[in-house]
Amino acid sequence: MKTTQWFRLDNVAKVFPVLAENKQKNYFRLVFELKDKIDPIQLQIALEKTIKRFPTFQVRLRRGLFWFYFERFESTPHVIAETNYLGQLDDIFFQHQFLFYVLYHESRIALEVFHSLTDGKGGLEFLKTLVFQYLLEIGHSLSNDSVIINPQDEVNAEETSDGFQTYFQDKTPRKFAKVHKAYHVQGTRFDFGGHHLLHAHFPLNDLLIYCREKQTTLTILLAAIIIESLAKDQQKKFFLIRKPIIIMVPIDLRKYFQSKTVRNFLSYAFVGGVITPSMKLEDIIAMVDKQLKEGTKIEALKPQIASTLIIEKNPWIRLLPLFIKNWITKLAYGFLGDPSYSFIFSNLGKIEVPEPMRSFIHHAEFILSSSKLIPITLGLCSFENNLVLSFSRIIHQREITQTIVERLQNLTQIKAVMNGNLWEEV
Amino acid sequence: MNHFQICPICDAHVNVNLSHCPVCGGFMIEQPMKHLTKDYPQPNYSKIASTKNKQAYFIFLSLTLLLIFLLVFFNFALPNWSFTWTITAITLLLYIWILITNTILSQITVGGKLVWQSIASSIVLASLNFAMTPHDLWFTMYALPLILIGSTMSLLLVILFGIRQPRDDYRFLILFILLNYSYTILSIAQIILFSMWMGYVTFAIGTLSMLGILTLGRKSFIRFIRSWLHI
Repeated sequence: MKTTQWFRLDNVAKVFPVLAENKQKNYFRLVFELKDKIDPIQLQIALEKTIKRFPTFQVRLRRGLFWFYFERFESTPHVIAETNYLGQLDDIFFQHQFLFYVLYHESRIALEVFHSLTDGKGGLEFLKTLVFQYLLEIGHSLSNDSVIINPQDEVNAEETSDGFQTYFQDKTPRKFAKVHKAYHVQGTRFDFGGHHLLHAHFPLNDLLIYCREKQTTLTILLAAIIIESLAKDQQKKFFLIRKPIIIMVPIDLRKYFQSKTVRNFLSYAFVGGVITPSMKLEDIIAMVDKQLKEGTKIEALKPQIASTLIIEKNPWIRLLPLFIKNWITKLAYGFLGDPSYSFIFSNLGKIEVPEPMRSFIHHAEFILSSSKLIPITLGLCSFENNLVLSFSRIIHQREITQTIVERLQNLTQIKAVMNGNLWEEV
Repeated sequence: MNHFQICPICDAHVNVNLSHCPVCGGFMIEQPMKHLTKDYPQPNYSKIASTKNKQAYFIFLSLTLLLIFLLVFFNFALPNWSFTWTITAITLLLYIWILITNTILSQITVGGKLVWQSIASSIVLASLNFAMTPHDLWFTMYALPLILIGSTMSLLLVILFGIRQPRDDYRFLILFILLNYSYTILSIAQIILFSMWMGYVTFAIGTLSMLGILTLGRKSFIRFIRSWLHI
C-alpha cells in the first residue's frame, strides 16, 4: 500500500496550532488503569507495533505556505514515565516531535494527544489497540472480537479519511451559531502551568438508575449541575451582573455518519443561558434537555459545520499566506472561541473493549486541558461499572469543583471515591 | 476502588493512597504524607523554568556585555574615538550574538543556520563598507552576491549529498534561489549599487540550483512543494 507522506489538517484541527502559537495548548489525556504493574519495555514494543497501524499518528506538524499540514515522521515514539504534570507536549512545532505521548506509571498507561491529531474517540481507539497489543506482548492470549482496531490488519482508508470533507458538501445550507459573551470563572493560576486533577469514581449503574427515575440522562444532569454551580459562583462574586453561563459539549459525529475515521470528527453543542436566582435545578435540567436535544439533531449540526467549512473553501481565504490566516484566526477566536462559553464538559461514554481484555483493566480516565478563560474542565468516561469524572483545574480556587461533586453526591445519595494528583497539596 | 478513607473536613471518600483530600485539600490524619511525594515521579520544575528563561537570560547577558563594552570603549580605549570603530565594534558584537544564539545554540536545520549566517555576515560587511569606504560600494557589488552564491551552493550540496531527510531545508533553498534572482533583477534594472555581471552569475547559480534539485532530488522536492503549497 502506498504510504501517504502528508495530510491536510481537518476542519476542527486547523485552529489548534494557531492557538498553540499563542501558548494555549489544546490536548487531552486518556488513561487506562490496569490491574498489574506496567512493563515499560513491553509497552515500548507494543507502541512500535501499534503506531504502524495508525498512520495519522505517525506525523509531525509543519507550516506550509498557506496552511499547516501533517508530515509523515519516520521515527519511533518512545514511552515515558508519567508525571503529575499535565501537558507534557512542550513544543508542538519542534521538528523532531510526535504530537502525542504514551506515558506509564505503576499500573497506568496514558495517552496524551494534541487535539489537532484526533479527538477523544480517535485517541481512545489508539489507546485500546495499544493496551491490547501490550497485553499480547506480556504473554496473554487474547482474541479481538472486532471491538477494537487490530494492530495486525492493513490500514483502512476510511480510518485516515477526513470526515468533514467526506460527508459535507458545498450545497449544505449554512448557519452560523449565535455567539454570547459568557461568564468566566476567575482565579489565580498555578505556577509552571500546573493542573490539579480530581477524579471522582462513581458506580455507574446506581447513577443511571437515579437518572432513569428522574427521566433524564447523565450528561444532562451533570451539565445542569455545572451550570447551577457556575451560576452560584457568579451570584456570589457579582451581585448585579448576570452573564449567560454556557457549557460547550463536544458531539461525536461518527454515530451520525457511521464513520470509522480516527481523525477529528466532532462538532459542538452549546447549552445554558442566563440563570436567575429563582431558577431551580429542575428548571435548568429542563432547559438543558431541550437545548441538547435541539443542538444534537443532525439538522442543526449540519449547517453549523458547513458554515465553518465554507470559510476554508473560499478561494480568497485559501490564497492568503499562513501568517495572515493565523492572525485572522486569533482575532476571530478572541470573539467566537473561549469567550463564548464558560466551561467544557466532554462525555466520552462507555468504553467497550473485547471481552477477554476486561479482566485486565480496572478503570479509565479522560482528562481535558484547561485554558486561561476556561480554567476548569470536566472529562467523563466509564468502564464497566466505574464512572470517572475527571476535573482539570489550573487555578487555586477549588470551590466550583467542590460544589459540583458535593451537589451530585447529595442529589443522588451516592458517595464517590476521590482520587487526584494533589498538585496544590504536595 | 473499594478502599477509601474519609476526609475529616469535607466528609469525602478519599483514595487510601492519598495524603490530602483532592476535593477540599484537607490533610488526611490517618495517612501522613507518604505516597505521592516519593512514588509518583515529579516534573523537574527547575529544568522547565531554566529552559523557558534561557533565551531571556542570554539576551540580557548580551545586552549587558554590549553596554559595558561601549562604555569602556568610549571612556578609556579611544580618547579620539571615531564613528567607524564604534560601528565596527557594534556589528561584530551583533555577529557574535547571532553566531551563538542562532547558529551554535540553535536547534534549527543547516538551511536555517545558513540563512542566519548570511544575514549576520551581510550586516557586518555592509556596516564596514559604509563606515570605512562609503564611496566604494564593494558590499553590494561583490560581497552580497558572493554570500548569496556561497550559501546557495553550500545548501544545495548539503541537501543533495549530506542529509538523509532534507525536506526541512528545501524552503531555505527556495529562499536563496529567490534572493539570487532578486539580485539579478536589481542589477538588470541598472540600479547603480548592483554589479551587472554579478547579476548574471547569480541568475546562473539560481537556475543551476533549481535544475540540480529538480533532477537529482526530484521526488522528495516535488513532494515537499506539493505539501507546502497544499496541492
